[in-house]
Amino acid sequence: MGQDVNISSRNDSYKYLDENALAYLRHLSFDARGAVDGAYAGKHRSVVKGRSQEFTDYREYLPGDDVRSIDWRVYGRTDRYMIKLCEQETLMTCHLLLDSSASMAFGGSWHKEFFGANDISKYDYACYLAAALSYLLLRQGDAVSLTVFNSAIRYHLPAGGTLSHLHRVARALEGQKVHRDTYIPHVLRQAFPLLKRRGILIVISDFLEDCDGMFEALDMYLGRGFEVALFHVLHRYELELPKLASVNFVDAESGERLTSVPEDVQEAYGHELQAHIDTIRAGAEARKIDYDLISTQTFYSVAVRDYLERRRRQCGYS
Amino acid sequence: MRILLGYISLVNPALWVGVAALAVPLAIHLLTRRTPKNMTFPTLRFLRAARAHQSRLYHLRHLLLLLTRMALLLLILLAFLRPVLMQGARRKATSQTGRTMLILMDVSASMGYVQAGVSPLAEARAAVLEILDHHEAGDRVNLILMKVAPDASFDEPSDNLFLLRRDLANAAAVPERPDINAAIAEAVSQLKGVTEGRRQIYFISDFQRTNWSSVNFDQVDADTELLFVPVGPERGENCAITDVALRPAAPTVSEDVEIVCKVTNYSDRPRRLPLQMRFRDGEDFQQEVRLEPRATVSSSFHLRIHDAGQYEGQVFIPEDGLKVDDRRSFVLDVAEKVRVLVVSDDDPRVKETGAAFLRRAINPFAQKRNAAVVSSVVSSRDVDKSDLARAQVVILSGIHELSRRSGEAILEYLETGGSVAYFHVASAASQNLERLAAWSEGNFVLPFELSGQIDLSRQEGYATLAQANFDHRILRKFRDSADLGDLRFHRFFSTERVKNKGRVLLRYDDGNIAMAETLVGPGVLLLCNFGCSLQHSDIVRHPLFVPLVHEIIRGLRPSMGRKNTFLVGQPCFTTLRPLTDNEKVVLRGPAGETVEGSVEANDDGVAVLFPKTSACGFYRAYVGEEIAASAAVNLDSLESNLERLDMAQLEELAQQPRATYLAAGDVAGIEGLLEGEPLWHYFLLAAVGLLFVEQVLVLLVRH
Repeated sequence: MGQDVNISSRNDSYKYLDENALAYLRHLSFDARGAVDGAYAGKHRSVVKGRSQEFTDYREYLPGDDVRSIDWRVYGRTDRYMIKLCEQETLMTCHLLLDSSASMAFGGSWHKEFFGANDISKYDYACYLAAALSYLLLRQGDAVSLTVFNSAIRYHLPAGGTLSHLHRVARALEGQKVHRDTYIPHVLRQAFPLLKRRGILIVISDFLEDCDGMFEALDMYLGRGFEVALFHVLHRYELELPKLASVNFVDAESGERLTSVPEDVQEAYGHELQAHIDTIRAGAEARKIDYDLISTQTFYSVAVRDYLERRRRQCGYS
Repeated sequence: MRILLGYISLVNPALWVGVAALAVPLAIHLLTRRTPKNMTFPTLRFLRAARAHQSRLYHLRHLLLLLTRMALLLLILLAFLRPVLMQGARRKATSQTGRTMLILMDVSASMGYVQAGVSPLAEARAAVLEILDHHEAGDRVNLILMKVAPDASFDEPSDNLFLLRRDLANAAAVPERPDINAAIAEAVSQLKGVTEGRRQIYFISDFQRTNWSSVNFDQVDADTELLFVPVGPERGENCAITDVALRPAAPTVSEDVEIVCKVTNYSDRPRRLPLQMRFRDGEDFQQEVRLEPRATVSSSFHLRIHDAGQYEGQVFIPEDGLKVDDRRSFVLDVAEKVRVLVVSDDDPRVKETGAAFLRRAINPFAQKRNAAVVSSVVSSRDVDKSDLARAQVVILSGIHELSRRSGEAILEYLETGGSVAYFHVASAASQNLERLAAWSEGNFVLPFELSGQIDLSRQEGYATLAQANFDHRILRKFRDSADLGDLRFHRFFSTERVKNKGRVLLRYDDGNIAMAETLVGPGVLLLCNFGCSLQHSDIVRHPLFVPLVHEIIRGLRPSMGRKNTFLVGQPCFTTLRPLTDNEKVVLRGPAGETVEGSVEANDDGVAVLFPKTSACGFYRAYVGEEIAASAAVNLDSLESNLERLDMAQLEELAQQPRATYLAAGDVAGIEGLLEGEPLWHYFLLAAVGLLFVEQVLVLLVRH
């Protein structure tokens, strides 16, 4: 089982590691849906057969095999060199890809004049989400890597499974800035050689771009045995336009302007956005990719819990 | 002070300052329109796509709302400005030059028709007052009363409203038929000198079809505005005695006289009326007449009078809305003898002239004092109205060149119902007939043309009568006798028949017309294409001559004529016995008032002329306290028909580009005409409609 992680064991506190919120996730576990590729013994099934408590099969000894793997009891009974195959339980590696493009800078302090001081931006929300997932995974002994990107990879933290790695993740999240546009297909291709160990690939983004290229890139990961999850983070005022008078909307990435009364275009806008979400959802379902649309209005711990609950139901766990 | 916007005038232009109120919605719109703040927005492409699906009108709805509200305020403001529509020619000029208005007010007899206590005249007065009330500085007005002769308040338009109002108050319906053309001519002549400003002629009348259907508007120039203001009922219910005819018109003693009364019902329902006839001596006759709707009935009284003299009589029906035509006067002039006037230029000293033979034939027993028919001879130069007035029949024979004065007197005699027999042989006769036809101004056309003289006496030849119209009253008695064919005619005119004109009574055996009759107004002109002298025919030697002359006289005696009655507004005349030197004639009107007139004495008697008549009844000539002669004056029967000429027909008749026609009975519409049609309520209604639109737009904007 997982170890207790004391996030405030160090003197410094982190923005995206809220003790109360993480305490809410303490009793949840992030289970791998299939076998995973891990270097250390852990709670998840490994694709590598080896010595462990979980017996799977026998086979004839072949030259080159480790002599220590010969089951001498079978040899005593059958006078044949047989090797006992066991399923190795290993640690799961979760690769978090976090979008830090300009479009993620919506809400929160960036739009305090519109939505107030208590609002949370998409980027902050994504960071909270990434931190919570890191906490959850590290707490159960799995490894977590973090890749922050916009149109290219801006920061990569290789996988680690220790408490100090959580601090590194938290520090890395705090140290990033949002800017420029995003191009996920390129990022996914760029990250592919970096993410050596198979595991779960979690992409946290607002996915405001062409989906076909992204899914093509994700197909590479799926082909290599990765489990992929897409956390589609949208601000509450993206899902429903703010009730404001005339607003001069400025595109976050291209700088294009459009003046309109949000109420006037709400209905048509909703249809357009829903069509885009449906496209992503359909692409994900076709590839058995987890897709989770998350509004910043939903508390991130609840969002994580809901995701894990849904994941557990899909895996058939009680 | 008004402001004119095209055809719309604003009564309260001072409220234009209210236009500032239009700035209110504009200000609200601008103030509530916040400057859009910049918001960085990631999903702009979805917004762009959403806006692309919206209509342009949807984007402009706030602007539409603003415009609607401003229009709403503008309409309310316009309603307060009291806009009025100046119809057609009624547009008020903004120039300082005033209008020249001539008000032609009908005061004819029909304007006195009273229905439910209101007369068209009262309505006309109200209409004129309405016009005068809208008199503005610089305007000049004149009131012309349409009578038989136009009666203008001033010689030229004036701004003296006081006198105009006084004249208007004194204006009363007169028993006359108006001469509308004369009134228009008067108005046109008064407008002739007006060169600046607008010229208007108001016609305020009941627009009787009988009077207005022949009005000539050509004399009005196209720049003059005409305004037709009808008053009175569309179709007044009126019954009237439209004519009284005496048959014969001038009976002799003990002769049967038929007094034929025509009673007309101008209403749409049948009537049954008592018809009463009363003579001055108090004798009454009464009978009942049944009148179908819009029909005329003739009803006769027969009587025989045994003493010569003038008898004043009146016929009555019960009084209705128009009283003046419910009574008609007549004078029954019972003569001792039938007077025949022979007009001839034959030498009176010669015994065997045509005129001499005629006189002998008229009264073969010249010595007998109580002869039924007596004649007098006068030359064509000396013939005048008084001579003609006394004669029942006039015979022209042996006339030289007819003077214009004499010719016109003869024509007037004919046109007032007299009868003339013209025995023409001499070459001057041809010219005389042509002159008479020309002077009558188309009032009669000869039944034949005289193309040349035929003289058969040189060859000792003659012509006889070959065809005769025995159905004619003159020849009826000769139907069974062959004597007409025995007559021999030596000199006569060759004739050419004019188709459909007159009646041919006799023809010669060579086809030329020997005798023909034609009508000149109510009078009869008998043309005899032969002479009475022995050079022309042997007719005077034939026993037929005397009865023929008497049948001519009998046939030509006016059976019904107008000599017994005259129309109000026109002159009338009568004759009385010769006066002694001590006797003085006093002329009085129907009410006993002294009136002006001329009294002219000659050998046969005294002719009295009343140059102007103004009331129905008897115009009398008194000698001492005795009524020596009377003339009956009555209303023109055309005034009795109150049917109005339709405004559309009047418009067609007037053909004036700048004419306005008020609806019948819409006297109150004059104010609208002068003041303009108020439009404020339409603006208010439009504002309410726009308010509804505004509410709908608000709902649309909100949802």
